[in-house]
Amino acid sequence: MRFTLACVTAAALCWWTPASCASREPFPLGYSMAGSGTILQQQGISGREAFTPACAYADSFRYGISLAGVDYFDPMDNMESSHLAQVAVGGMYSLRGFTAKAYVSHFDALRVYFEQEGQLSVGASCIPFVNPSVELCGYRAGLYQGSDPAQTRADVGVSAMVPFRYAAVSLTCCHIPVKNAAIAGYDTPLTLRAGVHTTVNALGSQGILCEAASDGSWRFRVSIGEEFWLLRKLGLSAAFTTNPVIVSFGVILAWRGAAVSAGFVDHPVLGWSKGLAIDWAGK
Amino acid sequence: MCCAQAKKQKETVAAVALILACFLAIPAVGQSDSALSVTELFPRAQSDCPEWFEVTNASGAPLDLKNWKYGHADDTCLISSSDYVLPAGGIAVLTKDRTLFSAKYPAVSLVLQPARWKAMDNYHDTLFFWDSSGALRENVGWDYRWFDSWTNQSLARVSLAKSALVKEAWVVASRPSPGQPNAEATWRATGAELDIGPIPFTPNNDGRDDYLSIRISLPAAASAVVSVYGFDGRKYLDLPQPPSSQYLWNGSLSSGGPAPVGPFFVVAEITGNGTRQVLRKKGVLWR
Repeated sequence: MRFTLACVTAAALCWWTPASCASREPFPLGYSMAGSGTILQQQGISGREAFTPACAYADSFRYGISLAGVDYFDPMDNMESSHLAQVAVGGMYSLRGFTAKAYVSHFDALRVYFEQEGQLSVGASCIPFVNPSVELCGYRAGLYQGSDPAQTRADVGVSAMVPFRYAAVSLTCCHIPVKNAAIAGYDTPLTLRAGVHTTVNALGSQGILCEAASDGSWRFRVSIGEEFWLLRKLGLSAAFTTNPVIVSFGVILAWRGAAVSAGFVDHPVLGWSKGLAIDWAGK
Repeated sequence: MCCAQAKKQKETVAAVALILACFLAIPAVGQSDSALSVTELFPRAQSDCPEWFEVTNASGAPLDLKNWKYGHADDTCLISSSDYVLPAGGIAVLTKDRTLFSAKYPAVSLVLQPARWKAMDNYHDTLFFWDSSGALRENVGWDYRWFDSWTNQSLARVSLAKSALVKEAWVVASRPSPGQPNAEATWRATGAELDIGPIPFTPNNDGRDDYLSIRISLPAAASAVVSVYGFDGRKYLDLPQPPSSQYLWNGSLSSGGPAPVGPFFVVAEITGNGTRQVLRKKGVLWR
């Protein structure tokens, strides 16, 4: 029954998505950075962090906050500021099987260009077999100087988590355009993702995430990840992603509802990205 | 007495003239010793273009190529049996077939076809140049193993300071320039450099900052692959080969669509002399 329902949900999402494009970010933000989003557990740090869809959460914590920062790729020496950096802050609130998550982020490129993003995700874990959620996103981007006006756009996404005993299936269709920008190249790319994420087992936690995207031609990405807890409070995670090939790894320190995770991602040409995330949840 | 004075004056004038002639002649001879340089070669003839090489008079005085010879020690060809004066700084092209060459490059005026042509080897060869007195004035060499991407382009000389027998003196020309100064010589440097601008660049056809200028300078005998990457880590496009000193990017992807706004990366992978170097620059695209 559950399998049938999962298949129906997947088929519905695929039908809903006539085309898809990739998100422009090379890897996820926050705790999920080190595992490239492959480690996703409804009762875990990934489930309660504010940057994942609300359907990914089904735990006893009532609320939580998340902070994350990423410094993208190696510094390159042509500008006064050579950094591409993003910071994000978000929160989670859950009540009687319903969860709401929200976050805002600010991205800065060379002190020349900025992008701001806000997302609200509302989901339910009280529905049998399938936990759905809806994401509403708004974006704003522009140059710090000059007369060109900042551009805005908006999109929605739908996600579902189908939990089984040893693993869960995730399905995401995001960046369905609601409001397009007035300029070319700042569009709302559609993305379709499907993943299988194990629960904690003797070998840790594993996950595989597939993404189909189209920027005129189809592009596929596959990520495989592993998370292993050396000690009760110390974990390691790593992931491998194709197209482009990136390797990521990270360290997690967790204590009760709090977690600090550091992630590192290596692109063979553009170099290393460094990220730090702090999550805290309370009851 | 008058005759004696006149004779003495004539002797004095003759002596002064001789001294002046010596002073003037010494630098002229010295300049002509290293005056002629081969600055571009095209040994790989095509159906529409014969073999040719370019010579430059790098001296400050005219140079007469009459009775100059080139070739090997046991096989020489007369460049010109009559007066053929190359002006100071002048560039002439010697070719196997003047008619075919001029059809390909009609703008080149100083073209000379020797009575007999010494064929140039497509892969490796050495040519010697002797002046009218038989003194060796120039020798050049090339070897296909010096270059990674030599197909049917010409070889351009990038340094007159280096011997023309070593690979550091030559590069594969991005486009042939017979009869013209070599473009490569102006941008080849001792160290590799990459510069891009403007930042941000705005390819929105408003006539302002619509193109990104990508400027690269390379050491001689080095080659480069220049690519543009997006913020998502994907390669947007590879810029044309062989490398040029400057590219203009209009903000389009290799598929023809517009590149996303936001940060991007220009990456030059430089190889040569058994080494590999990667230069990277960040930019911002906005429309």
